[in-house]
Amino acid sequence: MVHTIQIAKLLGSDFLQGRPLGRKHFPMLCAELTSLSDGGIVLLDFASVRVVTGSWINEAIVPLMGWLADQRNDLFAVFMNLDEDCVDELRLISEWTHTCFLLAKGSKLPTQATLAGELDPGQRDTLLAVVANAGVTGAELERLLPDAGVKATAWNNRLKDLFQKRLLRREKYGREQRYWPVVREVVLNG
Amino acid sequence: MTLHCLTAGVCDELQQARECGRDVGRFVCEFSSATLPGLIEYGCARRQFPELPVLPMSIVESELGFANAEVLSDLGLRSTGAQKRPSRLITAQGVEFFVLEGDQPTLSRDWSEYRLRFEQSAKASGFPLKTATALAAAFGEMADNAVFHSESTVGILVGYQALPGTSLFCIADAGIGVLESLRSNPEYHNLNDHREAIRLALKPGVSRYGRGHGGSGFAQVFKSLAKHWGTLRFRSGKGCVTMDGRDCNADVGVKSEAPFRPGFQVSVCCRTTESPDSEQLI
Repeated sequence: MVHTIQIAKLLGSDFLQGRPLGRKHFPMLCAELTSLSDGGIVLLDFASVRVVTGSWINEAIVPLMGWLADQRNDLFAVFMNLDEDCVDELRLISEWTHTCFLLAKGSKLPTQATLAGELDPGQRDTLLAVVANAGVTGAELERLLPDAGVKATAWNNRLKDLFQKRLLRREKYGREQRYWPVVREVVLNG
Repeated sequence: MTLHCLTAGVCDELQQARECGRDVGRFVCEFSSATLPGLIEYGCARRQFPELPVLPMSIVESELGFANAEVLSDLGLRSTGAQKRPSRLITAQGVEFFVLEGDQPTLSRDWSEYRLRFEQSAKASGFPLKTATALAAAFGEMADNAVFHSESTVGILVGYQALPGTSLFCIADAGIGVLESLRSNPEYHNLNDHREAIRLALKPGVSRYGRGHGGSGFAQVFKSLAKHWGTLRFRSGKGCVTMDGRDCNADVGVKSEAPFRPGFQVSVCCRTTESPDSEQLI
């Protein structure tokens, strides 16, 4: 299930600057998302937003990512149509807070998104492995990638980390947890 | 600008002279004009030393002086009398002041409209809309910083001025200052130099709340000035750091010692082209 939120319309502002405003907007964003079903994808559309500052991101978006990851909510966000300056701000905050964001353009669920935020080499390899083998389990990754020398438990830990970072979706099949990328293709930033 | 212009630098000299026991009255009465930062910083100095003389009529009755007297502020020309109703216009103004006080003042409609007028004014000065918007964001960040960190018991005085090819803004508080604010974080507890405290505070991610919890405001200011001819002045306690907007790096800013003044005063001047007398606008 994909749900789109026009940020400027929902928040009644195209100038997203400052900590107090970020604090005011965080619960507004949560309230809009509470009715969505678990595992859903939210396209946060920043079209027509003129300014997004780091301080606003710190107070509105960073806690929102934590809220989305809460098992009671379990939602995934893709940040749509942010302009270049806003992306710079998002990258800066992602570096400080170790938060990752998926960025894309358009009005529908994209097939490709760019990752803003740092992953360690193991997490990067795991994300790329899931992009290449959607619906995979940790045990399957151990079998599919024997040269990596990584055991199923370690793959599972990395998969869980990426799920917590909202970069992978997860579904339970019997005793197995299977993982999918949020969008079909993810471009890593360097 | 003539020698009789009250700039922020001249204000420091006056304060220094006053601390040395010299009579500065005669000097002050000869001022014929003031810059926006000069007027605001003199107000901050005068709050600390009420015996500093009142400014001459040439300044009080200037466009800058009239605009300053429109607001009620302990750091301005008028601290008593009737509060004027805020302007509801969203059109460019030459110069305008605002006092941030009360609970979450930067969430108010009055502040949003004021910031919008600043943006319109910067655009009218000749800046592209995108730059004017970035300047307005930087302006807002500096105002939020003062509200969050100053712990000031009196309102924060904010002002902007739009001149052809130039946009100036100032944010001044009479609070605890940068050094004390940073020292409230155990990580910076051993810090004891005002200049070093300012230099640190200008670095991305540094804040009293710890690394990563704020400290993005100055990055916004620097980014908005990066492609323009900007001059910045940061004044707190006994420290002053000035910077060239083209190389906004806290480590290369010029640090100097100044007479003690409470709070934090930020002055930013941004120009569309290089101008030889630009620093005198601060």
